[in-house]
Amino acid sequence: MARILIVDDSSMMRRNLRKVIEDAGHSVVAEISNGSDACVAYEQHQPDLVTMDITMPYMDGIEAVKTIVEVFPNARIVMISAHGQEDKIYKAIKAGAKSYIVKPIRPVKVATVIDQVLRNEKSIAT
Amino acid sequence: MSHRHIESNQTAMVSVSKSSECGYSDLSCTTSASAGINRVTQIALDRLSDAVFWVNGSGRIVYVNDAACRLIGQDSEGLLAISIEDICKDQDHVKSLRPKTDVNGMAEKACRAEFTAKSGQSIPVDITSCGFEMNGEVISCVFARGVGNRLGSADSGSVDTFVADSRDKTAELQSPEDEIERRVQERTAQLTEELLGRERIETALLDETEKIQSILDNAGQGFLTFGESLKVDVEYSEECRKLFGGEVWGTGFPRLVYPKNERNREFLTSLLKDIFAENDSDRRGMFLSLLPSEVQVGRGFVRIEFKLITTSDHFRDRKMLVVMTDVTEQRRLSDQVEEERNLLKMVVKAVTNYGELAASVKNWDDFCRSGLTSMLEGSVDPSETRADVYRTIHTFKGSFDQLDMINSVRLLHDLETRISEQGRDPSKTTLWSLRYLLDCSQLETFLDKDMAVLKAILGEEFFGRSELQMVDPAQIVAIENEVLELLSPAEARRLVPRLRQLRYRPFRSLLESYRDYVANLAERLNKPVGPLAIEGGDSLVDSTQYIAFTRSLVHVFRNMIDHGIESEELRVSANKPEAGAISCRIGQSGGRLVLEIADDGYGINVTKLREKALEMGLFDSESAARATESEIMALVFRDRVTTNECVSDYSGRGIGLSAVKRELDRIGGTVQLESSQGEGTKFIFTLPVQKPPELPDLTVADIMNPLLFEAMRFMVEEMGVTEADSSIEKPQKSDQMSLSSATAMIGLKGIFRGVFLLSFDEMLTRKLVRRFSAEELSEEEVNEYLEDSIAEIANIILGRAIDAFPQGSDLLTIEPPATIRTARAVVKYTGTDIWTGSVHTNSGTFKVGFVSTDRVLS
Repeated sequence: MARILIVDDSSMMRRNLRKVIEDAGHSVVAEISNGSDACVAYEQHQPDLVTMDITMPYMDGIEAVKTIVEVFPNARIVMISAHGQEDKIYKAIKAGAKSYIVKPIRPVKVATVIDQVLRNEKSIAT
Repeated sequence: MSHRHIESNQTAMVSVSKSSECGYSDLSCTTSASAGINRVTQIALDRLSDAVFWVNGSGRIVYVNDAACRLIGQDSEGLLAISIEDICKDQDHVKSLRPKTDVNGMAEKACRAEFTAKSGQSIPVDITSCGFEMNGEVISCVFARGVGNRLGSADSGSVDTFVADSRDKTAELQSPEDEIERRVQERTAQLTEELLGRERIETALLDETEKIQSILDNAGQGFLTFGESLKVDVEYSEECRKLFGGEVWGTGFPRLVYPKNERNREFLTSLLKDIFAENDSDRRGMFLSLLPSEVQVGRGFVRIEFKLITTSDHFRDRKMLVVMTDVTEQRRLSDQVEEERNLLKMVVKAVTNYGELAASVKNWDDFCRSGLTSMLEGSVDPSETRADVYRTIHTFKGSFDQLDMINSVRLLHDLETRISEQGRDPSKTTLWSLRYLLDCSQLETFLDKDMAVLKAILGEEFFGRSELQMVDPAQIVAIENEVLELLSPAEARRLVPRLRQLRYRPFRSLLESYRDYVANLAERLNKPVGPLAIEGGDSLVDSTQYIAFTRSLVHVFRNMIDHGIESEELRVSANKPEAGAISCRIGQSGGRLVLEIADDGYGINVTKLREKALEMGLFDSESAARATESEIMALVFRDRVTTNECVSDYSGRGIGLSAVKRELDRIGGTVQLESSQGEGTKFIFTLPVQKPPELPDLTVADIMNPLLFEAMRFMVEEMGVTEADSSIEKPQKSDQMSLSSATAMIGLKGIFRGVFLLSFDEMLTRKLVRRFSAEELSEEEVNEYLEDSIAEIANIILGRAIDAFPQGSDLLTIEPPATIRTARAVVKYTGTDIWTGSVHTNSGTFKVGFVSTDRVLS
């Protein structure tokens, strides 16, 4: 079971993600609606994994990834993106995101990606 | 100074050969010229393939370059110790090679001479000489090129070579020239060997390669590869040439697929570079997944698949294999279908939300005409104005998006993008830039395309009225059918009731327009008439049924105002209220709709009407006397019957009320007249009511029983099967259906989609064909007609089953049948159920099946 931080400006998306994440056996430490709060929340909760929306007000997901990774180089961040945002996903991955999920959110996909990211990190750690 | 000199060597050397005012005149020369020559210049001169000798006034050689040493076969020390006479035996030439005392007398000279090498061998050379002054001494500069020298002959401009060479080698200033030469030779030898080796291998591979090439060329797909440089390799399939309209090798792959879109090109370039450079396979996989899967090339669309392949064990030898498929035609077809669907949605929205559409269009026009101008003129802060305009455009985009006006939305979206892009460009933040952008965009044309489509489908007059939508109900029915056919059942279920609602309106709404009519006409005829009162009539009716009738009521109202209501004076003297009253009351009685229209005017003068009837020969005197009041009054509905003496512009021609009667008869209604002299007239119309039928929710289960029933009926009626000898197996859901000997299949579209199957066993099939045919058939003929016959039979049965539903044929469309011979085949659809039922008769067995291909229905 992992502790997960959800960052998304749409409350609907946060609700869906929470359900999918909890159904997959993980726990949600907090729901955040913008990039700059996400950095603060990361520091506070130090979650095992973050799901990060790309397009958000104040600070977008890519900037948030940069900021978080700068302080916590091992942060595990999974981008949540819409179709046709390949260039942004690319930037996010370059910035240090570990993986991505393209909307619409499907439970199996989310669970698989989360597991993958968590497992990879462990295998690198050991 | 040194570096600049080398940089400008070309000019310097040219001036050496052209004039004595040469660029080297400031070279310091102490004991010998070479000592004074700057090292860089010396190396540069050494790179020259021509031999260079500098000769002083006494004939001594004061400087030589490497080529000169090679030519004579002596080192520079040896050469600097001798004079020009020692290597050039011809005295005439020597004389000309020696410098003159006056540098101005030394024009450039060229001649052929013979030099003597150290070995004694004679070397024919082409000589060019010129003079320059160094430290007050005149020096002759001699360039000698061996005649027949390979380099020399191929190289027409030794100065150019010199310049190019010296540039190339500037970086290697410290390397001894011999060493470089040795390495070059070594490397050349290596390369030659490699090339030869490769040539052998290539020859061996050529056959194989050609075979593979021909396979790839004929695959109808584009294959190409590229490595880390991203430049397309020389080998690629023929299709690539077609896709990109020419040769593609050597072109960077990103440029090939994004020749104009710089942003995408940059993205693809860095993504591909990362893919080649990435060692972590997970990250590489992630990058690979971000590669585009389809690109637009010219006007076509190309699907792209990428595969990273390893050509050898070397990490560096990875190549990207790209497989490209032209999907233009597929795209065009699916775009077309999509376009039609979108259009249909827009039309439905326009019809069902006319008020919204009209308001949005008007708002947009206002914005284009004046709103925008005042926004720009009232601007204080350009960036704030830009934001305002942006927001407004965005709101319009939202409104038109609600109305599914896709073309308008696209244009607004692009404009929005341009405005925000401009806002980010620091050089274009002025109000003027914004105004220019908006002026160039031609906002007033944004809705044209969608409006043209709507007008083409709904008619020009659709947009003529601001409140009441004017659309031919027949068109609504046509649109309804299209919705059922083209859109998914889920969408059709949502839209069809809304379209139907357009036809089903409160009855009173059919009379609303008479309020204005009555007021206007009364004013024109100078009759005192109060506002038209309408009471009741809220229940919904199919407006298409009544619209012709209610339109004809104009004659009733006209008569009432023109003839019924008295003048103001008469009314006052008759003790009636000053203003006359006309009222409508709608009620129901015995399942029929009752419409009463009454006035409080003169009433019908029955006596006068009776006389008129006699006069017109409608009654003989006897029957005229006997006729009841209501019989006489009914005459007003006959053509040309009027009690009025004068025919006004508006009424009195005696044809109006007959028109009302005709429309009434058409819908099966009746009319009764009540009137008493001086108190007014009342028309009482009784109309049949057709309730709006519910949109039947047909389901697969619902259609199975009628299908079996109709199939049975067909057997009984056409095949002489007796019901007593037959049994019907109840329909049930199953995951498969085993087919008999011959099967007809018919697709169904509409509120649900599926395939109807009718499968007959061999005995029954043959009987059916024979029975279905008008004449005797041979065995071969039976086989020949078999498929057509059972297709026809299936069509009949399905058609009847559907007709058994109210509006079944409106809700479902039958596609052309297909027939297959099916010996023991089984139908199975993944993820959907198959309904099956069978009928056993004494002539054989047949099965009825229905496969729902629509997940909405479960």
